[in-house]
Amino acid sequence: MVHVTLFSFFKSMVSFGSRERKQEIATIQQEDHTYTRGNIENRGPCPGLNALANQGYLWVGRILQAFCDFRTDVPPDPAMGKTLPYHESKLP
Amino acid sequence: MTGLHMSSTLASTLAHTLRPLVRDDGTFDLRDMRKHNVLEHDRSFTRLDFRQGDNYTFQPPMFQALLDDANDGPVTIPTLAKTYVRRKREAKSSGAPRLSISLWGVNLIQTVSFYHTAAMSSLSKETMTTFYVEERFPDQILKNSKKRTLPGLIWDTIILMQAIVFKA
Repeated sequence: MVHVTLFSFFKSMVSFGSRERKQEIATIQQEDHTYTRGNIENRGPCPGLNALANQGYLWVGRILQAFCDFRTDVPPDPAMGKTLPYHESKLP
Repeated sequence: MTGLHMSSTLASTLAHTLRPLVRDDGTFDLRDMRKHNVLEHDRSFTRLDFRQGDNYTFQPPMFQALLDDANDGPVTIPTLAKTYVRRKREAKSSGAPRLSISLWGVNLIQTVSFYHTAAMSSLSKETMTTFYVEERFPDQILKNSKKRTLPGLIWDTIILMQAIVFKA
């Protein structure tokens, strides 16, 4: 069940190379991507998304906000989409 | 998608597929991926079908069958076609309902999605094991800066369909 509208599709192509996107990409590249296996109870059937979460790449919420025009009144949350092990690793 | 060197078009398209699972605040949980016949569907290569009770836990015997289809590796599009045909046959013989047109497309694309993401001519047993068993992208994939594109994914899907029809 794929929901891709023509407008949002072309919008993403235009906005992806913007300065904000480049800054976001640089931020993601600088983050800690140490592998931490997540609990199966918090995982889904997709090994690709599970792997992205295990390696701290899963910023899906922000990607969707950027591409799908979701709730543009809400600023992106840097913690959005991060895994529980990631947050736990940041605790003192 | 930055870490996987995806083009903006491919990243956007893949992100859009998650919209049915996204909450009002723009987030979703990986657990939500378990919802049957949204994105998750029967005939997974490494997960049981929905009616079997657990459609999300990795099943080692199914993974071994995937490797067996490739004579223990390397995995290529023709071996993925063989696995696709086997899983379709297994689902049919067990009385599973047919996939909808949209999920049939999702199933085909997902069949080659890791192959395309890896950007390798073939997937070794070690690469497959790292991805499916450890659920981790190997360094050789993350460090391979070859651009992954939507046309490339579509092309791999076409090659898969050709292999399904003529070879598998």
